[in-house]
Parts: sequence; structure tokens; C-alpha cells
Amino acid sequence: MEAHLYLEAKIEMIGSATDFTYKWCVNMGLDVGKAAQLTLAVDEILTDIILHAYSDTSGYVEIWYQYSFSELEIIVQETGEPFDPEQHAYSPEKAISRGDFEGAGREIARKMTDHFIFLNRGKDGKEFRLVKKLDKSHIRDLIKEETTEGRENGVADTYLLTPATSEDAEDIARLIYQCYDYSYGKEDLYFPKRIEMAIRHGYKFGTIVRTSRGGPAGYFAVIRNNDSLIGEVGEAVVAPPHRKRGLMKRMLNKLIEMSRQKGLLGLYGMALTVHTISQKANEKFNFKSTALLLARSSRSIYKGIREDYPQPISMVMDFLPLTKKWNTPVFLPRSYSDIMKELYIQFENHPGFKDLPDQIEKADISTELSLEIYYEANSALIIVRKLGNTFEGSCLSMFRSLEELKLTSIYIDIPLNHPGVDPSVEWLRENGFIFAGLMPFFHKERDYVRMQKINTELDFALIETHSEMAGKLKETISSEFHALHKG
Amino acid sequence: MHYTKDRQSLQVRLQGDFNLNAVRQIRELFDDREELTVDLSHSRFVNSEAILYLQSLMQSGKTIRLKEPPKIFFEVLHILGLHESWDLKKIVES
Repeated sequence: MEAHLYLEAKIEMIGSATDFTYKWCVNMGLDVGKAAQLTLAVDEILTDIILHAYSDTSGYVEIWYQYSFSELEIIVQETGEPFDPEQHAYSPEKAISRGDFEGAGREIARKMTDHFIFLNRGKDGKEFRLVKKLDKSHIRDLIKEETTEGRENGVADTYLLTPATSEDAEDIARLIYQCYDYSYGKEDLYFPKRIEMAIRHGYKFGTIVRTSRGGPAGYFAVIRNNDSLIGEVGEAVVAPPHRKRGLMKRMLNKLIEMSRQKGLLGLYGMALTVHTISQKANEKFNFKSTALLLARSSRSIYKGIREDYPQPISMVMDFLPLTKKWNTPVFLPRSYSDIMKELYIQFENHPGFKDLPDQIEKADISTELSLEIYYEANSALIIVRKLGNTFEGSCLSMFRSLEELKLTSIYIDIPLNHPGVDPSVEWLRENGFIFAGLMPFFHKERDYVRMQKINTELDFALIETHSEMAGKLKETISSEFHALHKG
Repeated sequence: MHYTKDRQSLQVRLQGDFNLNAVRQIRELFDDREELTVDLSHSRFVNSEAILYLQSLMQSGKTIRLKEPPKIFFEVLHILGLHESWDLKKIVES
């Protein structure tokens, strides 16, 4: 479960915040030792903030607690006095000889976490990101202890489809391991505890197919987005003896039915472009391509990908709407209005298009940005939560704060419900961003245009697309990419 | 926080973590006494402010004893490079 604390920056609040942090970490699956480490890291950061950033003034600290299948991330934000951490590094010699412990808190926070990031966002404040990986037993350790006796290998005449529960976690991991050995792209599926936690807390839901003897034959799941009523069709497997029996189709139909019951407005699939197998599967189920995300994933995440594949993996996003109420009109940025109209009209019930006014007034509010960092992929997504009159300044502060991370790719999502999307997109184009595509219902059930900035060379001949629309996206994006990189 | 004190010494049993708030309370109680004992059996961690405080007491010649510190206390001493300069045999009571 995600959580958000808004605290007055006072010493007395630290204990309450760390008590909550510790319990949240344990509830989300960290063992007590690692929970204590992450809690200490949070304590050190809060203590530094209260002693130094708010030494002379009052203020507030916000803490965001975020869960993913493989890690816990805690984000601490404040707007106190500016500081440069490089000027205040810890020195053991100074501590021993002079009792000068400057920088000790951050040194501890860094060592107690798997990722520790400091982002100075200028007027938008400072941000500390603390990440701890959820290391649980790998399925290979459980398989080792098992003999082949009693394991089901044969085909079955009848199959039973049921919703997957947390109790199915070990069978799901076993299925993935037996079918793919180590080559399945999503590492989380090799850790039964991670699957169990994700299903129990409702982050994913799925269906499992069993034979009449009870053995697992297939699994298919939807991973819910954390800020919108959509989900990613992300995990699918059928054991080899049970393939070509229509199980994948039955499971997907079941998943679509379950998704509708849960009120989801759409499903999407992120298909690899190293080959077109997943794109073809998505097309078969009426998904339509809406975006091409360059360098979206690190090659090393996908152990089955050819070893000589020389670049980060790009992905085609395919979308399937589950609602007919897709009727909030949108503004399309001028530079991409033609292709965005084409992307929309693939869908029967697409929203209407509003004309951009001749003079676009900037909304009299501050721009609000949020940031998601994909640590394994070395990329980040900036989401424009509110599009206001500080767009350029807020983006520049965010870009500066990300410079040190040397990210391979940065994406930014801009809402299409405000005419300000047009000048914002133009400004991003002037600052090295190119088109990525349409992200329907992606945040708070609203449509967004995604722009991307790629900080690596890419050979587009290695990016394989299947649908006609994915091909058009590739053409547009490739031409922008090459124009930018030649310049 | 439970404590007992006499002219020479202060004994504290922490109910929570040894953090900045605990340091401030202990500093006030300790005053200019000579010996401090902190029972950490209920603490999840000892933070850098606590380490700094203990280091300053030791440097001014005071005696400190820590009862049942959590494992993370030793990790923190290593991170801060203090594990060799602190005489843990004298300081720690398990």
C-alpha cells in the first residue's frame, strides 16, 4: 500500500514518522533487519532536515511511501534552506579528531539503502529518494529441494480457470521457472513472496489455469497502475505441454472480464521491439499501438534477449479501451496533431478534438511535477500533474537535478486537457525532446502526450514493429531523433 | 524513557530508538555526571546524533555503557569508521 505523510518539521515528529516507516516496511515485506536499516536512513534524513534546512524557520516535510514488486521507495521532500551535499561530505578523520560529524547522516542513509538519490529541484525544493530492494527466496532454491516424482508433465483434457490468489504464488513462480528457466523478462516472477505480496495488496490480479489434477498449466495477470484506473497486461505464461489449446485466449478473456468488473477503463501492453511476437499477440486481441518508447528498458533485465543486441530495449505501447465513456475532449499539440488524430481514430469511441485558441493563456497556477525513477532501466518519467505558468522553470530545475544521474532516457507526460499542452510541447522540442506517443487514461484517468529525451545512440533498424501504426510511429520518431542527433 | 540517577551516574532504559529526541532528553538528565548507561534492548537503531553525543562524552573523559545494542549499531560504527577507535569491550554489555 502506498502512503503519504505531511509533517511539521519538528524534532518531536521524527519518532512518529520512523515508527510508521518501520511498520510500513515490515508490512510491505521487508525483514525486520532491513526495515530497521531503511527506517534509520529515513531518521537520518529527517534529522538533517530539521536541524539544518529548517534550523531558523518553521516548515513542513512530506514523505511518500511507494511499493513496487521488487523494491520499496521512500521519497522525502522539503523546501527548507538550500544546500549542496558535495560541500558537506563525511570524514571519519574529522569525526575522530575534532568530533565533527558533518555529513554523517547522509553517509549512513547512503549505506543503509540500495539506491540513495538527492535531487535539488530549485524553487520546487529538495528531494531525497531512499530505495531498498525486496530480496526474497528465489524459486530456484525451492525447486532444488523438489524431486521430479509427482510433478505433472502430461497434457490434460480439462482445465479449470480461477482468479489467482496469494496462495498460488509459489505455483506461479514454479511455472515461470519451468517454462523459461532464467529467460523470462520480469525478474519479480521468480520470487514467490513478491508475487504473494503483490496479489494480496491488490497491485496485480490474474487468472491461473489448473489441470483436473490441480497442477498449474498457465497464468496471466494485470498489473494495476498506481494513479489511474488502467492496468498493464504484463505477465503471461502457458506451460509447453498445454500450449495450442486456446488457454492464453481463455485467460485473456477472463482477465478482460475481471478488469471490467474492477472498473478499469483500459488495458495496455508494453511489447518488446527486439522481435514482434508480443506485438502480434496484442494485435490479435484488438490492442492498438499508441506509443513507441525508446530505450525504455535495460538489455540486462531480459535474460533471454540475444547477447549481441547492442542497445537498450525500446517498446511499443499497445492499448485496449474497456469503456465507451471516453468522451472528454482533448487539445492536440500542433506539431503532432496529424499523427495523434490517427492514433485516436484507431478506437471506435475516441474523444473529440478541441481547436487550439489563437492566443494560449497560461493557467494562473504553478506547474506541479512528479517524478518516477526506474532504477534498473536507468530512466525516469516526469508527470505534469498541473500545467501552470511555471512550466519551463519547473522543468529546467527538474532536468538539472537529474543531470548527475546520467539517465539513458527521460520521458515526460503532459495532459491533453489544457491548450497549454501546445506551447509546452514546443518548448520541450527546443530542449531536446521528441515525440513518443499517446498515453490514454494514463494518470488520473486523463489522456497524456508523452515526449522523450534519449541520451544514447540508437540503431532504428534494430527496432522491429508490427502494426501499421507502430510503423508510422517509428518513422516519425526516427526522423525526429536523427534530425536532433545530426544537429 | 525510564531512568535512575545519583550524583555520579545516570541509567537510562530507552523505550524507543536512540535518536535526536532521546539524545536531547539524556543530555538534560546527565548534566555533569560521570557515568552513563543506556539500555538499548528496545531500540531498533542508534543514529548518528546519538553516536556523536556518545563520542563527545567519551572525549571529555566520561564513562559510557550500552546494554544490548541492536546489530545495526555496529554497522553504523563501521560506516562512520569508528569501530576501531571505540573500545567496544568496555562500552558494550550484552
